[in-house]
Amino acid sequence: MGAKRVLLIAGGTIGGLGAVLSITPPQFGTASSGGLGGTLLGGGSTTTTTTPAPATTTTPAPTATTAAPAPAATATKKATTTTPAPAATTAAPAPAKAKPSGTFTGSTSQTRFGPVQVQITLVNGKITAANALQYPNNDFRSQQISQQAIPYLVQETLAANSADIQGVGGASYTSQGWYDSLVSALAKAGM
Amino acid sequence: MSIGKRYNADWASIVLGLGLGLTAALYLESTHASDWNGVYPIVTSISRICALLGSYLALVGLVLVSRISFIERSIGHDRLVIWHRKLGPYSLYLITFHVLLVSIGYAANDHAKIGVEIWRIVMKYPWMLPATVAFIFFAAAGITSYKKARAKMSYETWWTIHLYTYLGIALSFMHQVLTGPMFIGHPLNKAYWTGLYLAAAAVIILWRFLIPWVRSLRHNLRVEQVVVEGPGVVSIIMKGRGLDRLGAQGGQFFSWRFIAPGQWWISHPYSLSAAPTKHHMRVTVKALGDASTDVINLKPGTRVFFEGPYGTFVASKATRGHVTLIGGGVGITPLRALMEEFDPTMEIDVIFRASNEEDLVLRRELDALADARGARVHYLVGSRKIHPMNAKYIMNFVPAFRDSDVYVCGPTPLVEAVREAAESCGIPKNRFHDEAFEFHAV
Repeated sequence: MGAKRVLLIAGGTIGGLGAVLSITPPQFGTASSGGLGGTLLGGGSTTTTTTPAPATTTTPAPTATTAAPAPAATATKKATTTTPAPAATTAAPAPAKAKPSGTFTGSTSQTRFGPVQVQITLVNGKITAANALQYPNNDFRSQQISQQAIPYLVQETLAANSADIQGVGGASYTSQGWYDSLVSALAKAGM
Repeated sequence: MSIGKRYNADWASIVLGLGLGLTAALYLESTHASDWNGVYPIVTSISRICALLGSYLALVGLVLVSRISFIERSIGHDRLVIWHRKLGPYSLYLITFHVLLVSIGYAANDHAKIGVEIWRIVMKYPWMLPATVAFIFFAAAGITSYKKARAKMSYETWWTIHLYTYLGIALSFMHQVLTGPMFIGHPLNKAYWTGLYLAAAAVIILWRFLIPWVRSLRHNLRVEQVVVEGPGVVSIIMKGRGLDRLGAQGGQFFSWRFIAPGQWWISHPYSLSAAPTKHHMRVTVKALGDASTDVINLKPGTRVFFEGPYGTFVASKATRGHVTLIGGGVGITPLRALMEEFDPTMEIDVIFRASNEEDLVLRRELDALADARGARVHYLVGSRKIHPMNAKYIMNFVPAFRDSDVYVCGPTPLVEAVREAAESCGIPKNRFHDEAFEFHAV
């Protein structure tokens, strides 16, 4: 197999790849709604406090001002694409003076691996129970990840008593879906 | 290779590449940013691409040796076998990478120890137990095909182990479509992939099973007689009808399957030891391996299933007016058949090297053929040291060696020695024709 034939194979490969990717391009652009891991999940405030922290620790103090803009810029960009919902919730607690009680079901959040829907129980404005009515379980890998992640998400939710959660590493989609649905459940409760 | 075949091989390369691209696109098209936003997601992503490409190459490898008649004709069996051998290792490497990387990637994602994660993947994920068995089959076929390992075992053992790759490919399919993120929720991807597997299965069933069966039954080939030619060497004479329609030539080989107890499950690649006639074909065999020993005991009337003819070790490849045929031991048999095929004007020298006098099988036939057409047969009996097959030594017997077409068949050391001799005389590759015994394999 000479160099020419290797070139022909490579040409065919690029042709095949190009043809498919030009018809259905990779969905990197739309991934922002899917979430990018735990750091996003805490909403606007936690994003800005957690992401710059490693940047400042890794960059030497004197050059911090010159080094900072790059990571900061990307961090804020990410934050702006995903923060609309959290911004609304951080604003919400102020008008909600009454402390709600009852069971509230969040909207279904569609993730890449399946829907997530959260149900919470509130007693005088305190989250006493949270559970997933729906979670990704179409395939075994998703089932396994969901089973591992959901107990943590429940704990985080109860501890935070809000949507201000970190999410679970390795279960970024489920965490993002949980967050979205939790936000809508809290909104229904007026929190 | 002729110009036409080269052109066809170029097209085949493009098709191979196109499929490779389409297969890689399965993952890239369905991937998300989160598959690339860290070391371990990237590890997992790479593992999946390795899996896709490795599986694709494994399928291509099977199809290459599936005996599709028009591909065999347009590219040549020998070339297809060479490609099969070149692709095979890449397929195994890629699949091995997949196994390693997916274990690492999943373990990191789940914060589990790697051993625990592997156990969990194998025992709990759907169809992972069969896929693990499939990987073992694959690895076994790869290791036993490695030159040094291959040299240590009989053809039959190697072939049986190799046969399990079919099972391996079938067993690995379900874990792919049930756990692969490029297939879950991507019906078009799943359809492409399933189509690829079904097409490969159809090709194999049709060309490796149905067509050979139908042809074998139609030509009604049966063992007529088994003749002892020398120590451990027998000729099997087979009778059938319309064998001339097979278009076989002396120098070619078939894959033979003798339908007898303990024999039917394995096929043997044997060269014709005489030019085929309308009603008869003959092979001459040394009892080399486990199962080939039993051919001595074949009963007349035993049905023979065959695939072939294969091989480009044929008279029409000669470009000069003189040929040198060099055979070692039982490797003389295709040369004996070739002798009948050359044009009467062709000048022929035969060198027949064997360890002992009694290993000079078919000697009477060789002498008779040589007399009939004025060829010379040089018998060299004794060890490799007494008869070093270098250019100088060969030219003692065949002064016109450097101007002839060289045909050689025998054990690998002999073939390699003659190859070197030919190269040292400046004989170009297209005038050197070899048929190493193990070349038939696959």
